[in-house]
Amino acid sequence: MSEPITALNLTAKYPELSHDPVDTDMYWKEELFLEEKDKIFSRAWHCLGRIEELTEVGSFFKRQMPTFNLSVIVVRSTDNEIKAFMNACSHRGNDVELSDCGRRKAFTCKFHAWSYNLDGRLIGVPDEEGFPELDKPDIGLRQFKCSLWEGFVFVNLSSEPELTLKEYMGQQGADLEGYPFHLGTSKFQFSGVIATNWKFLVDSFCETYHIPTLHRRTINSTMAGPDNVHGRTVDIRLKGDHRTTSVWGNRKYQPKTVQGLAFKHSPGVAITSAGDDSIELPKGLNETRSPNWSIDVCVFFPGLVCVIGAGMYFTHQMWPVGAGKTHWEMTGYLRPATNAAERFGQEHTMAELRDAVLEDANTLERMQRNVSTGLVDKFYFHDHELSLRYQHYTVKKHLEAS
Amino acid sequence: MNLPEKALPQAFSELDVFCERWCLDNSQSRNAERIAASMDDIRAFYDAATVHAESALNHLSALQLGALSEQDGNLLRLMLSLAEVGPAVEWFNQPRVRDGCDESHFPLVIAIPDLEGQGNLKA
Repeated sequence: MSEPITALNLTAKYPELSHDPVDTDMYWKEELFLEEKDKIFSRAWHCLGRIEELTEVGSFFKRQMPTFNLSVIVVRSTDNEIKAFMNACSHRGNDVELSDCGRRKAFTCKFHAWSYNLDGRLIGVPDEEGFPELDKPDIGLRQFKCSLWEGFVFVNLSSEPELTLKEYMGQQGADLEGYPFHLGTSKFQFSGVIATNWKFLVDSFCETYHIPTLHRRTINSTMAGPDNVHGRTVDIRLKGDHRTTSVWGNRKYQPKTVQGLAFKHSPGVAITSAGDDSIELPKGLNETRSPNWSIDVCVFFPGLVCVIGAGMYFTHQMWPVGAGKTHWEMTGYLRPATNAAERFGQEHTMAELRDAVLEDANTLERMQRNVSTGLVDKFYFHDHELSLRYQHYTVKKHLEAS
Repeated sequence: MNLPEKALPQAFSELDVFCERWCLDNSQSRNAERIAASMDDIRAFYDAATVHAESALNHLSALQLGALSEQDGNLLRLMLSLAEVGPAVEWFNQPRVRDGCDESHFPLVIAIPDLEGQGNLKA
């Protein structure tokens, strides 16, 4: 079963967007990065993890938010509510939690043993008489606004967020509700610092025009291939500041030996196999219901990319730390192996995904080096690079707003 | 790893010879071994292991993680190395990603455990 590849009329559906080349300042100028940090990242909701990691009262995980040089503790507190605190002791600022995750009755600083309960309240101060003016109820751990969407834990660093998380996730979030995110409990993560702008990293997962060339040895045969030689996308949808790219899947692909064994013994479906018809998809995934679909790349502006297939999903989280430097986390969420052979399918999914994205990363660093000279002052976006054009448009919109 | 002479279940003893090199403790070690290996070594392992892989995986599909005998655990770990070297043979025809970013710039920081059970965590 197949249908014709998608025509070149995606950009035309959005009259607010021009077809012109775009300027490249926002990809390398340090002062624009600082403005982005202030006007975009400081106001956004940021995803820190999954609720399945917080099974019991006292379960916590610690996360770094490199853009803000901030360490955050997320905990299931006594009332079963999920709360987020800055990982800093009120006494003199040391980290109160050194472990990455675990279960606690209280958080105790290893400097002078000030301790805080699961609600962040200061409950213990050794030799307290030495602080005659100490107003304990007022000096607990600094708390951040924390909210859940489909089991993902988000925080917002503003004391009064402009949007609730639900409003922030918007139509794109609503259209993904019901996907079985909670089943992806077998997790792996890659993390590193790449010498490229955060927007280049996001872009590399949002256009498939590069697949026949850059990924000619790897995912070209599964996500483009002889019926789609230019790597056209299935569809691109813009929703608020967010956007989704539906990626083509070659249903005629005949896997190689080890790939084929992995597809057969997989608890979900790998990125290079094409879909699982048994799963009912929410409205927002493969919204055109194309038979040639493989995965959707759902960007929640600015830096969260959810790549969702019928049987597995993974996220990219981009944490810019400079105009030309990004802390990049890629986290895979696979279905648990129900037998020992399925562990093989998981390992193969992880290895293929890593190898495919390592192909992207070199290119992104080269682009950054060239653009940072100031001599590459325009980009030309293909119709099916609409998601990239929209990111440029959206960033500009936020920077120009007061 | 210190492996006994008969590292694998009897039916897969032809692959015993690969265990010392390719039965490794975790995903990171498997990637490191792939990168350090020559393509000839990878191919020798791939060619021998793929002959038995279908029946090895059928054997493992009847077994539960978290309850594997030592020999079955070794067989699974050997198969996990096959999963790791698969792209080297089937995609790149060299150990590393062609024209790829150095793996050390984007390391695996959380791995799925090799042999432990993966009971669905409660929400």
